[in-house]
Amino acid sequence: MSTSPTLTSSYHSALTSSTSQSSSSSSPTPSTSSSLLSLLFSHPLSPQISVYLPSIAPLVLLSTLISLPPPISLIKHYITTHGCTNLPPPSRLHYYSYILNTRSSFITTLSNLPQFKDGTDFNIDPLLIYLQILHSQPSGTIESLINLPPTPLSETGKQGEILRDITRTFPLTTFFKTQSNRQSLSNILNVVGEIGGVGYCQGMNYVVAGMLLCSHLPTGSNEERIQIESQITFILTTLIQPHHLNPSFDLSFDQFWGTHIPGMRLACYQFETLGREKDKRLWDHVEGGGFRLSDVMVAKGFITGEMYDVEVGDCFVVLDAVVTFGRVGILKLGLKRLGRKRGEIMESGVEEVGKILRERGGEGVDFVREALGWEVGEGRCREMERELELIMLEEQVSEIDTPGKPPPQQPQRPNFDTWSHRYGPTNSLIPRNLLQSTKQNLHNLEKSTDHDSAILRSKISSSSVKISSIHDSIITLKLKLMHHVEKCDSLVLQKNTIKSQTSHLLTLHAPSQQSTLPSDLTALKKKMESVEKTLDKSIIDRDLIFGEIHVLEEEIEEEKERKEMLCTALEVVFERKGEEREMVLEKLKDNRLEM
Amino acid sequence: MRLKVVLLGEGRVGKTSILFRYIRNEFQEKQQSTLQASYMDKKIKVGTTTAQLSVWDTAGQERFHALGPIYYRDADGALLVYDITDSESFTKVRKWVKELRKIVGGDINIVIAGNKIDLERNRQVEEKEVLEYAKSVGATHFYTSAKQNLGLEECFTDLATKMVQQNLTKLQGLAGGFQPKGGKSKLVVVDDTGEGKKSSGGGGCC
Repeated sequence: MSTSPTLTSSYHSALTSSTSQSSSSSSPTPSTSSSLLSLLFSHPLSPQISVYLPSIAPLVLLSTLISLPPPISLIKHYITTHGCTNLPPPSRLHYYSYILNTRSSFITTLSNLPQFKDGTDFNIDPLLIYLQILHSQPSGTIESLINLPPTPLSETGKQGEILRDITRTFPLTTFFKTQSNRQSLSNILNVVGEIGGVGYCQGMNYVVAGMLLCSHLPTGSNEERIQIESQITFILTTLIQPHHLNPSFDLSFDQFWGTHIPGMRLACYQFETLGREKDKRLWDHVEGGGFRLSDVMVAKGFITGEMYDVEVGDCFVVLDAVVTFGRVGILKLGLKRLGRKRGEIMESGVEEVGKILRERGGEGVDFVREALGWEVGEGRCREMERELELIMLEEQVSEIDTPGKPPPQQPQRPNFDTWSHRYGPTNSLIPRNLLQSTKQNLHNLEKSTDHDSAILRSKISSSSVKISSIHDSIITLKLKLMHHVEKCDSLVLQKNTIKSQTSHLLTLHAPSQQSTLPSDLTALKKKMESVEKTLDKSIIDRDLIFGEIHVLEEEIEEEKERKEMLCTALEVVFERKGEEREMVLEKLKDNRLEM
Repeated sequence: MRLKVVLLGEGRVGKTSILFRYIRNEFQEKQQSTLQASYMDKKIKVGTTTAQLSVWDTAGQERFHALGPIYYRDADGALLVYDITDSESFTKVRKWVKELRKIVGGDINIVIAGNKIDLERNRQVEEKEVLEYAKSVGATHFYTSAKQNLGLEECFTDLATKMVQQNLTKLQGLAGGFQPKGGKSKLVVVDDTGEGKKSSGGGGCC
């Protein structure tokens, strides 16, 4: 097969540069950095070098020159700080090819095509493959195909679906009123529908349109236009590729463009969980009115790669975030969009929410920066994947009929409130007997936990009673103590009064005038003795009560400690139950029959 | 009374256009293809009962069928739309009816709308076939044109009437024979089992 170097060099370099992503960690070839140089600085459409300086380009270039794999975390940091890659239009597509490792996806795509099933030299030009599929001419050459007008799409079947959507993709923008741009959209969707593995799905049209909008298609040169088309085509096939084939991108669009939209469930669970964590009041307000936010937001965000109602001028900003951040990027953008409309939603009734969510626009760099700034990582997303898996296993177990009892005669209608049924059938089945035995195991676990927790609860409750009774005794004693303290104080006061009266009398009666004390002084003395006696007794009583209180306080502390230990033991029982429950459910996973 | 209506039908039969025309009296020749299912509300008076209709628009492509239950599971009524110039789109209506009957049962009121009646000259779907089919499944049929604003009021009023009646009957049942005021004389009682029910094919413009 012949290729035209003049036509394909720049695109070739874009794709080959992507190989550095998988191989550069060990030994990148010298051509890698030069091809990247060509990618960033020598592209025929690229503006002057200065345009690249305030962008991620130097970062990518430097890492390639010093033989390091793509600095993904640095790139992500850059985009989170600046809101986008800041790359000029023609280089954006090259960047997407680079960050998505499109070259590797191209080889996989190729090996799935019938003409390459028996092995081939994968150094083949992607442009040629694109043209051959577009014109359904597997043996054509670039020269023979490049200026061939594409065959009009059929009005039925898959092509019919594409045809119907061409005029319905951003229909009001000037860009898609131009026939050649519509033709590019149609060409790409047609080829992606052939080789992407999922046919054509509505939603792809928006992603492709977004990429076309930010690629600055040339008006004059058909050759350059075809190059861009083929580049977008292979970026799309990369986005569709199953995650395990392209681990560098954590979101595979085959989950959203494949039959039954299998990824809807997880994305909704993640969106709902994060949404509630972020703003519970908003969710309660809307969902209390029977409107399920996640269904609407996820359909829009994930199926169209956040391109559904973006303003044309903001396409590239949003695409940068989607392509670089994948799943968590789309989740954050959707939640930010929702957050921005919070005030309006909270002030309106639920009947207005549909209308409010329809309003489009405003996704500029500030929006993306703020959205991505929210600290939720890919780790949390993976955690939620596991949570949902357990929830669904649990739902399946709880739905199964109890062992020993005859199954219901008529099949029950699925409960659409459960995660297992809300978004269509799940793609795995667990044998009935296994579900039943698991149900029994969970029941036993529940019973034993109930038993243990009942014992602990009763101990906790008697401990509480004891604490409360000691507490009451302390209160009574404290009241008593207060009384004694008051009594002592009053006796001391009395004592002081008698003392002063005595001294007063002593001054009146001159000393040594009489051998005996006058009667009033004697009376005072007696009174003093009696007061002192009572005071001594009161002090002893007071100290006794004080001692008693001290003992009770020590006792209550001990009892509180005991109660605390019992409570901890109860928590441990529940924690252990949770862990065992998870283990029992996890065992089911290995026995799933994939459909 | 809040009632939920879901618009179902193949891609590009005019679901979104019907929604916009009916709720906002707007029509766009070039409508974007729908992916974000969403709804719009409108108040409607049936007899003396005022109902708040929540009309849900959905994506039409076959592969989104799996997501259908999210929208129709708790709907009071479904408006199944086909394009009279596209026979394949009518085949999809049959599929929807089967699915609704299977999953939601007889509780959901169904109205079928043959849209784009302004393109009568390009008609591909036989009127006789449609009317017979609608009758057989106990659905009412209307011809509509979102572009020329034909048949939509009648179509939604009929559906709303059925839904209001159903709700009032339910309330009556709950209240143990309590006769709610109004909304009765003009109502058509719908037999959802399908057989022997009068299918209008009319009301609107056919």
